[in-house]
Amino acid sequence: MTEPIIQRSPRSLARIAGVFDFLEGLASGFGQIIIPGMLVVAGNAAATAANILAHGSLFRFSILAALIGIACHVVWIFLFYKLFKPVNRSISLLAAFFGLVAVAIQAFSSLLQAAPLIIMEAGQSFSAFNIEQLQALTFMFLRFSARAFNIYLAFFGIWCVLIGYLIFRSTFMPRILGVLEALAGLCWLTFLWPPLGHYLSPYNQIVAAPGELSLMLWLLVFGVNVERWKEQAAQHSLGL
Amino acid sequence: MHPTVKAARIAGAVYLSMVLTAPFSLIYVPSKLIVRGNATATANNILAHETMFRLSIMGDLVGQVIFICLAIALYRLLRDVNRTWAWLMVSFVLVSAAVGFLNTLNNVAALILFRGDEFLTVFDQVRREALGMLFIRLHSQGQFIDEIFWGLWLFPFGLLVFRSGFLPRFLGIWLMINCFGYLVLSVTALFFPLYYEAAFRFSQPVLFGELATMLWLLIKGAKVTALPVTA
Repeated sequence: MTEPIIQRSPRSLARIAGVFDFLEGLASGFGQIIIPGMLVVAGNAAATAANILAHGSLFRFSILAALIGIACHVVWIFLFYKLFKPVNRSISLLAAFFGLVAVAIQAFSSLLQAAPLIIMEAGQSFSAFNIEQLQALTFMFLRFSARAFNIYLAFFGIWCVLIGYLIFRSTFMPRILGVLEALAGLCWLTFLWPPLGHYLSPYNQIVAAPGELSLMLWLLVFGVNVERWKEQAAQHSLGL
Repeated sequence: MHPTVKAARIAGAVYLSMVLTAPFSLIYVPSKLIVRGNATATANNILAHETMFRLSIMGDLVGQVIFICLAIALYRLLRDVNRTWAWLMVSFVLVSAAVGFLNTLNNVAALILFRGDEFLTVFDQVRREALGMLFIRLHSQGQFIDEIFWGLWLFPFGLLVFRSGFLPRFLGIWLMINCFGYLVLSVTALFFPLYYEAAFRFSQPVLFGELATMLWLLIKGAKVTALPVTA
């Protein structure tokens, strides 16, 4: 049987995981944070609607980017499961479950992001509403989407904490990465109670950033210590 | 019966149950009840055939459950080919099913708005219908999002079929092409909604990859002679 590339060595597994981590961050960052942040004017439904109408293609692109990010996220979570299975199989699987649920919520929040398009293109069906009401509806769905994204962040936070623990217990990656990643997870968990998350923003994001970035860069540049990975895998009689 | 043949037949049977039930919620009911761009006509249709609409919501939910069972059945059949790709296939299906479950809420919201219970009387009928229509549209938008996953899971699936040695390679290739068919459809729905129906019609030969695989699993099972002894 030919071995596919992601099974050839734990190092390339780690590198590919890093690539999908990067792609997810880039696509979701643009799709669900940066572009919506450019178009949505806080507390102003009319200005937000005008922005979306004026930049229709950009808005559509943000949804597409979000969807690409979501697809990459599934692969990323899956590869992390493979990567940390030698440390503790059950916890690695548990992390993957939390991660997949998080991705489903992320997909749902990007669906709500598409509602403004429907409202603006509906024409005839919405003739009963005046322009202010349509703008308010659009705005409500964008707020709703942002709320769903907060719930996603909380689930993602649980995943980060579990992954942080797995890195800490692993012998093939530096422990400090695990501590930073768990810290990042705690920061995302503050969005479980949105007022707290927003009260701490942007400080919680600033604290979370080093954990996420250092882990991604480490995976891309160094991957894992192959010898020790195999050692730990052998301890639990888990081959590649 | 050889265990691999049995696993193939079971997967084929689960697949068949999905192929038989999915078109009801996915194609038949929407084509009967939803009038594009006309909220009032849609509302009247749905209220006149409320049971049918409720059945389609239930069909949606049952379909997701069958989808998860299908992923598990295929995992059993194909895990020995390559566990990594088999798990990736299951992961995509799990996310797809979760999105599908949540998406039925949009149809439920539409039904509540169209029925217009006591608490909704503050909105007049035209507005309720328009809002209901919004949720109907949001539901189909949700299906376009799910289409990405309907596509993505087929790539590892096709690859595993291709490498299996006990299923024909052309089915594997067809499935992988089928994957890109769904991805293209999803992007079309987002950027060129007017061309979606035409794209859907033209992509049928590509989308039949799943149907062909289903029939093969059900009728032919797996070619056991080509199997290694350990399987």
